[in-house]
Formats: sequence, C-alpha cells, structure tokens
Amino acid sequence: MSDKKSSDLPLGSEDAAENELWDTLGSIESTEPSTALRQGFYQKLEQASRPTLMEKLRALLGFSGNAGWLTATACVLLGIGAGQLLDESGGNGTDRLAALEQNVSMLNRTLILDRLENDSAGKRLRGVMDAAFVAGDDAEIARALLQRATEDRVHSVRAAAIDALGPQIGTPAIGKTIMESIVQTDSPLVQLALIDLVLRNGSQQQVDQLLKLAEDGLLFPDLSRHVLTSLKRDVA
Amino acid sequence: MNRFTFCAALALVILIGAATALAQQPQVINVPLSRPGDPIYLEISIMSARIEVIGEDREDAMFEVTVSDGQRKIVTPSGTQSLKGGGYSLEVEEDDNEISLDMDWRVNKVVVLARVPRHADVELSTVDDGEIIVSNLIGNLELYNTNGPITARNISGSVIAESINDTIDISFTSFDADNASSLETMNGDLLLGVPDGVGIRAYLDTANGEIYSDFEVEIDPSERIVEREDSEDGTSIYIESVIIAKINGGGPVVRMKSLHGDINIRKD
Amino acid sequence: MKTYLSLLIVLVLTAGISKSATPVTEEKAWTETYAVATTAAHLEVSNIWGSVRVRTGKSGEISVSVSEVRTAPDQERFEMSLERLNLDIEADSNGVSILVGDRNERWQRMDRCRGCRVDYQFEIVVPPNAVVDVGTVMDGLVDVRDVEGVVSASNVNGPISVDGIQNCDTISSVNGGVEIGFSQAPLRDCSIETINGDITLGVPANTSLDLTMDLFNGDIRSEFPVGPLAMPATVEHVVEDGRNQYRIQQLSGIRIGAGGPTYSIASINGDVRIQKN
Repeated sequence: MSDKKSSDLPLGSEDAAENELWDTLGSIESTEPSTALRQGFYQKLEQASRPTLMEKLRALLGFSGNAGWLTATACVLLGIGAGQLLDESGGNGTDRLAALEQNVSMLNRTLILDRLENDSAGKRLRGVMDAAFVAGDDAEIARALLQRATEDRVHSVRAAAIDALGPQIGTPAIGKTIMESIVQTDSPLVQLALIDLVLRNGSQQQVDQLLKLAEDGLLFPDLSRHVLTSLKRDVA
Repeated sequence: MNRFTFCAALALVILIGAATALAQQPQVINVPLSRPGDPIYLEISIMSARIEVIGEDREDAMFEVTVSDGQRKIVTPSGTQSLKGGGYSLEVEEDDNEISLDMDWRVNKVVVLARVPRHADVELSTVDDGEIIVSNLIGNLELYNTNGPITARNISGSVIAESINDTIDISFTSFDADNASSLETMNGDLLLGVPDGVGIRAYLDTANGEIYSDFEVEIDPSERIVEREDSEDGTSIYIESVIIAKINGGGPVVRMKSLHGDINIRKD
Repeated sequence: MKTYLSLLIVLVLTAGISKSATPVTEEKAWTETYAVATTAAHLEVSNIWGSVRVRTGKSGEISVSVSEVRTAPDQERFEMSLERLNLDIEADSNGVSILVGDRNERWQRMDRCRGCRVDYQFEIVVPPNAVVDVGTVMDGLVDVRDVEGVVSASNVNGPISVDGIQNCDTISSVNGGVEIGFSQAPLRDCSIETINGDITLGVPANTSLDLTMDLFNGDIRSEFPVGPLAMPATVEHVVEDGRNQYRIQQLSGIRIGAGGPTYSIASINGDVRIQKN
C-alpha cells in the first residue's frame, strides 16, 4: 500500500488493489432499514437520552452522586426517628382504641340492660331487640332477656324476648325454662313465640317434646295445628 | 184488644222506651288536670267496650260514656223479663295527670269517647265485642283487644298492639327512635302505614299469610326458611324465618307477627 | 331416797305448770229491766260472739236477759278479759244501749287478750213501738220479731231474720242470709245489702214499692208482677288526697204495684226473692 495519502479517500485512490477492494465492497448489497424503523430508532434514542422521572427526582433531591448518598442517609435517619416517635404514641393509640371500643361496648351493654328494666313497654321492647345481637356473648344480658321472656307483663315484649333468645335455647337452663313455659303460659301470643323458637332453633329432643304436647292437645288448638303443619304431620 | 188494654200497653211501651232512652244517654265528664299543659297518662280497661281516644289541643280531658242496658233478668209470675236500667258503676280518677277509667266487671257494653291532650301515653284494653280507635296522639300507646279490631291514625311515637282474632291497623306520622313498636295477632291481618321517606327496620313474621309492601325493601341476608330433616325418625320441620326488612334505609324497629294473617306495609 | 325426792319435786312442778296453763271458763246469767218513758224507746246492741234476739212485750220497759260464757287460756288472761271484755251498758228513759267491750277502744283492747272470748246470748223484750238497732259479729244470729218501730240489723258471719216488722232502715250481712218479713206494707226507705247471702223480702200482697238493685251474680225472683223503673245515672265527684274521683252509677230498678218507698238492694253473690206474705 502506498504511503501516499490522498485527501479524498476512499474514492480516487491510486492503488489498484485498494480500488478493486472498494469496488468489491460496493457490489455487496446492503439492506436498508425501513423509514418507519429509522424514525422509531431515533425516537427511542431521543427518549433514552432524556432523564427519567427518577433521575429528575434524584436530581431535584440532590441524590445524584455523593451528595445524593448523604441525602439518602439523612432521609433514612429521619425516617427512623419519625418511626420511633410514632411508635410511642401509636402504641398508645392501639391501647386507646381498644379501651374506646371497650367503653362503647360497656355503654351499649348498660343501655340495653337499662332499657330491659324500663317502665315503658316500648323501651323494654327496644332493649329486647338490641339484646338479641349480644345475648350470645353476654351472660347477664341473656339472663335479663330470659327474665323478660318469662315475666314481662306485656305479651308482645315476652314474645319478642323469646324470639331474641334464639340459639340460647341450646343452653340447658334456658332450654328447660322455655320448654316448661310452653304449657304454663295463658297467652296464645306467647305460646306461639315459644313454639316458633323451638321449631327454628330447638334440638331434636325439644322438637319431639313439642310434638307430643301438640298431639296430646295441651296447646291452644290453632297452635297445635301450627306445630303439626310445621312438622308435616297430618292435622286432625 | 179493647181500648183500655191498648192504652195500658201503649203506656207501658212509652215507659219502657223512656227507661231505655235514659239508659242510653251518654254521661259527660270533664276532668281537670293537676298539671294542665303537661303530657298525660290514660288507662282504660273495660270488659266489653268501644273505646275511642282523640288527641286534641286542650288542657283537660273529656269523657263521654254510654252504657247499654244490662243483661239482668227477673223471673215473675208472667215469665222472665229483662231489667231495664244499666246496673253498673264506672269510675274515673285523675291523680297528677294520670287518669284511669274502669268499670266493675259486669257485662254491659260501654261506649267511651275520650278527648285528651295530644301528648299522651295511653293504655287501652277490652276483651269481648269491643273496638279500639285512637287518633292524633303523640306518645307511647299500648292497645289490647282480644276479640276485636284495633285502629290508630296519625300516631307519633310507638305502638304496642295485640289482638287475638282481629285486624290491627296502625298509621304513623313519625316513629320514636328510643322505643320499638310491635303489632301482633293470631288470626287477623296487620296493616302498617309509614310516611313516605321515613325509615324503619321491620321484623316480619307470618306463618300462613302473605307479606305486601308499597316500599322497596332491603332484606337482611338470612335463611328464608328453616328446613330440617331427620332421616332417623322422619321428623321434618318447615317454617318460615323472621324477615328483617329495611325500609328507606332503616330506622326504629317495628315488629309485626301474625299466625294466619297477612302483613301489609303501606305508604301513607 | 334422793331419787324419790327428785321425782316428787318434778311431779309437783309439773302439776303446778299444767295447773297454771289450764283454760278458765265461767258462766253466768242475769236479767235486768230498764224503765223507759218515751213512746219510741231505743234499743241498741252491739255484740261480738253470740246471738241477739228481740221480742216485744209491755210498754214502758226494756227487759234484758243475758247469758254469759267467759273463757280464757289461763287465769291471767281470764282476769284480763274481765277488765277488757265486759258489757258497756248505758240506759236512761230514752232507751238502752249495750256494747260488748269498751265503747271507745273496743278492738284495740281485745287484741291484747289473745284467746279470750266472751259469748253473750241476749234475749231482749222491748215495747212494741221501739226503734231497734242490733248486731253481732260471730257465731250468732240476729232475730227480731214484731217490732213496730224502725229496725236496723247487722251480722258478719251469721244470718239475720226479721219478721212481723213495719219498717227497716239498714239491714246488712256479709256471709249470712237475710230474711225480712213485713206485717204491713212498708212506708219508708230501707237499704239491704249482703256479700254472700241470699235476700228474701216478704211483703203483703197490697204492697207498693220501688226497688233499686245493685247486683253482680245471683237470680231475682218475684211473686209480684213488676214494672220497669227508670233509674237515671248519677255522677258523683269526690276529691280525696288531691285525687279527683268521678263515679257514674246507674242501678237497675223495678216497681211493685204503684211504687212507693225505695228499697235499695245490693248483693255480690246472693239471690233476691220477693215473696207475698
């Protein structure tokens, strides 16, 4: 190869072999990317060169470079400090919440018990309806409800209390009282409530007892038929 | 019949008519209140009575009482005759705005119309061949009629109403949030009037009747029917559950229970 | 020896104790006659245990025959009963008033003598036109015959039998029957009431009477034809302890004959019979 350089290389070279090389290279087909791809490529290139959001943020917060590490470290320390502070009051917050819930629960309980003893039948009825939701978890409310169910002077309040006892019929003491009350009551409305309680929530044994009372004619006639119909027995 | 006999018979008829008219004339009593302007408590308990209580803007209580002829009979040589005249005793007592009206336990049918201050808690009770009607009261009502209907209109407060064999029809203008209401019967229908836009939570329980509502209701999820089969001895139970229905988002509790009757909640 | 002595002491003590706890009974009887000067002498007897019988005799005197049986659980209370349960008799020319016990502290004094009892049986003869007001409480009857004056009688646990009279004022019994027989048609109002006893009125066939009845249970039978009697309702207003009480009452009424004096009959559980004498 000649040492002589020409200013318009590669074209116009005086070396024949070099020219032949260039000619050969010129005969090789080169595929051209589509114009769409080219545009997309340049767009991507432009996008890549733009700073990302995180980069902008880092720049804004001074997290770039060594100063950024300092900033990050400071943030971590701040965070730990804030967490400690929150933990002291927030650990109290959880206790406070629990105490508040307990207070509300006690207030609710006191209100229910107070209503169950009220002179006004409407208030006692309201107390009975509220007690239905908590009687399963509160023995004192269940007892008060049972007292309304057996002793209230207003039959509707007694019937509502009987309805409210619901699953409590499974408790031996309550179940026994309920079953005894069925024939002792002189009110058809109260007896209806007792019967429905047994039909809906009673044990098999209690249902059998009820059926026997109905078959022996110890219930009000309409209610005997109600029992037999509900138990899919033939009504005489 | 000769003239003398005719005149005697006519005179007797006039006498009997006069006696009858006297027995049926209402007695009116105005009862002053110990604390005029304050709410009252009224209790009326009569074996067989049509009792109507109307709330008005007034500061005393007025009672109009009519007693039908009694069932007393006398055996005479000419046969058994009915004794004219009531043969009854009825007492009204007022003590510190608490008024009670009751009658000795004879079988005369009584009609009582009471006009009282609108703010009144009321307890009314009758057993046979009676009717209870209440209107325009603000307070807590207890209404008991064993064999007859109970009707109440324009009530603001709470109502506990019980009948065995007849219909209970109560219309509220508003409900007391602190009290619950209950309508219960064995063989009658239950009708509840609720103002448009007022919310209640209704507990509906009827074994053999239908339930109708003019309102759209949200039903609390619960099993509609309790159905149990015991394959060992073949015992089957099929009974409807209590339906808990919220009207207009819910509110004070109204319990409605009937064995054979329908339940109807209407928009007033 | 010591054993015999101890036994003897025990026996003596026992005898002493049982002697002091022995019920004491004493009986006596007497008759007292009181001069009365008025035309309508008054007789008033208020007994506790025993009967009161009244008959008519001669004018100008009231003769009282008394049979007394006094019992007490022991001597001490017997002595107490002598002081607290005796006859309080007041007599003057207008009449005689006899009361068992202290007129002012009757029942209080009795309470302090538990187990004490004094049965008095009275047989009294009065002038025919005497006004009689007699009564007893337990274990006795009231029996009045042929008195022309106004008769009042009361009994708690026994019967009342009044016959041959002309007029009554108040006849009342709790648990005994009441029988009243008139020798002539009554001319004045009378009130008759029982709780659990039957009432029998025997009046002459020509009687005219108005009867008002306040009855709960029981039948009414009349041997007379009856007509209706219009009884207007009455309204009574009473203020008691600050309470306003209104009582509306209407009685049943019947008329016998052309009507006349008003007899008020009240009974809870007794039958009423109106008979012809």
